[in-house]
Amino acid sequence: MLDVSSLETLNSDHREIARLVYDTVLLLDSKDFSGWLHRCTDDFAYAVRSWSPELRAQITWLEHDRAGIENLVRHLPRHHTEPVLLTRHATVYRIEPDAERSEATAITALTIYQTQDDGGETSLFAVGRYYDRIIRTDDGWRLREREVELDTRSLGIGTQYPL
Amino acid sequence: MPRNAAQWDLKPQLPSTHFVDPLIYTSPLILHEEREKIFARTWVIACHESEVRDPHDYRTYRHPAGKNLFVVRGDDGTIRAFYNVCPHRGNTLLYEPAGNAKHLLCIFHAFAFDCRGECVTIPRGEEGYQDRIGKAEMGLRAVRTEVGFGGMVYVNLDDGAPALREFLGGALDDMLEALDTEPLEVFAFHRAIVPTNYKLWHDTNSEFYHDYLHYHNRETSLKQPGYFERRYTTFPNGHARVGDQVVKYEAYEGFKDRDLSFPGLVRNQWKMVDLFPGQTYNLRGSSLRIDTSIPISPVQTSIEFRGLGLRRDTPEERALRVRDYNSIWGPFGRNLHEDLLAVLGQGRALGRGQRYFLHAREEDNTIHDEIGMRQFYGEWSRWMGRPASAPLEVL
Ligand code: FES
Ligand SMILES: [Fe+2]
Repeated sequence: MLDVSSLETLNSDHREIARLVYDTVLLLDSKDFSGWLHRCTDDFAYAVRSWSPELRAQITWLEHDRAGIENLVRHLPRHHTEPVLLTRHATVYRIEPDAERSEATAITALTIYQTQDDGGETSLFAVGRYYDRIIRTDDGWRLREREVELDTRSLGIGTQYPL
Repeated sequence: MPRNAAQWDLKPQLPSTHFVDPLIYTSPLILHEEREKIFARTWVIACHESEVRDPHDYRTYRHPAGKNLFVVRGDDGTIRAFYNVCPHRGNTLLYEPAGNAKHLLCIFHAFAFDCRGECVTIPRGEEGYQDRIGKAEMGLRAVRTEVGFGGMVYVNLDDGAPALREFLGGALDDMLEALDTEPLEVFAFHRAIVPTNYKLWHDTNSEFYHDYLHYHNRETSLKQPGYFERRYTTFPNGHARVGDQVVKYEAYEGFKDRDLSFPGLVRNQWKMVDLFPGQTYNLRGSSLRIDTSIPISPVQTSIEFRGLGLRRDTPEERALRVRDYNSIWGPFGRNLHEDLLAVLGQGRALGRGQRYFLHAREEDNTIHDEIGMRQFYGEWSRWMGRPASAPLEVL
């Protein structure tokens, strides 16, 4: 049985965790990758995967530790990328803290729109989910692991940006 | 000097093999002819044998000639291909892109077929068709199939076409040890629908002059020893091979040289072969990428990308190959996005001011020579009976 004070802690954990997920979305939308990585732990792990009905297997499209992601975003200016804006629409569906409330998992529904710089036409880029593992640190909740599970597999010419 | 309207329209003062008229990229009539004259008569890659590993495994394929096919492994282990069309009233037989089906059952009126294409059930057949039509007349349309050259499942709609080996004309011989020493396995598949002509994708695969587009290639390849010694070899039937290079992956900060390789391949070696009319074997160190282009319209193309490693890979080895593949390829890779961005840009300008496209570089068949594209369009012109530089003329 939860007493009132632990219920309040639980509620505030939920609020803070949801806020962390939404912050990462805002930061990614504005391409503030250092701000995004600031919300992640030093041992952060990031992956993009999708189930392939063609291969009847899960495919990994991107998998990096923190250093790998830092390297990826640092090199972005050296590459040619399509002049589009990616806008994420996220809804946190479920947050489940563990018994000690030192760690939690979160499932977030994700829709990513793509808006062309030229003319501003918006189209759907991808739908999927974030499966996050979040841990409590001295600085508050931080993202330890993010798996982007994409339903969409036809991604046009793709993208160089983390989703 | 800028050119006025008349000058812009002037044909280049070059041999007719050294430029093309972009009408070949936009004309619906030309695509219609390409489907009938080229795609319906040449060998194309439908899938890999590992996608139909077990008896009764199937995999669908949208054939570039405009036919829907499926590939199925029979109870005898043989891989066959058929139209994915019910002979009764044309329903799609297999709706899923892959699966396992003991009987191929049409959901509409329950005609059923076996893995060898024979019709095995017609519900209330005799009552309705009496002896006018029976199972013997209701078999599926079989499509010629050959499996090889890395376990790829090649199909050809033309029952009279020469055998696959003859068609390939030795183009893959230099890669055979890597491809056929032991079984391969697909670990990645994705399809990019790009608003461009399929030949523009093949052009990109057939020339290396565009390495300037890729930061990764400039650092790891173009600036490295051996790059300008890479030579093109052309083969009969429109195919071309690019000479090898040992790539220095570590020249890209944070990238690692490839720990894994393929049989007979030097570590970090890069081999590439372009096959007419729209397939590419791109073997780079630890992974093999296979492209197969499928025109949807003159200005829209579906490109299927497959990544392959060795079937016997341990999970750790496989993860390494996947990582290497994704670092440059896949929907989030460094190079593929740039290649696709360039053909997207060409596609956007189709019919919007473009004039002759140059295929005119001659550098003793070395890496920036455009002999690969010329080889393709020479073959294209033969099949089409039209010069690519003047496609309204009939040869
Ligand atoms: S269309 Fe297939 S059984 Fe009628
Ligand atoms: Fe390229």
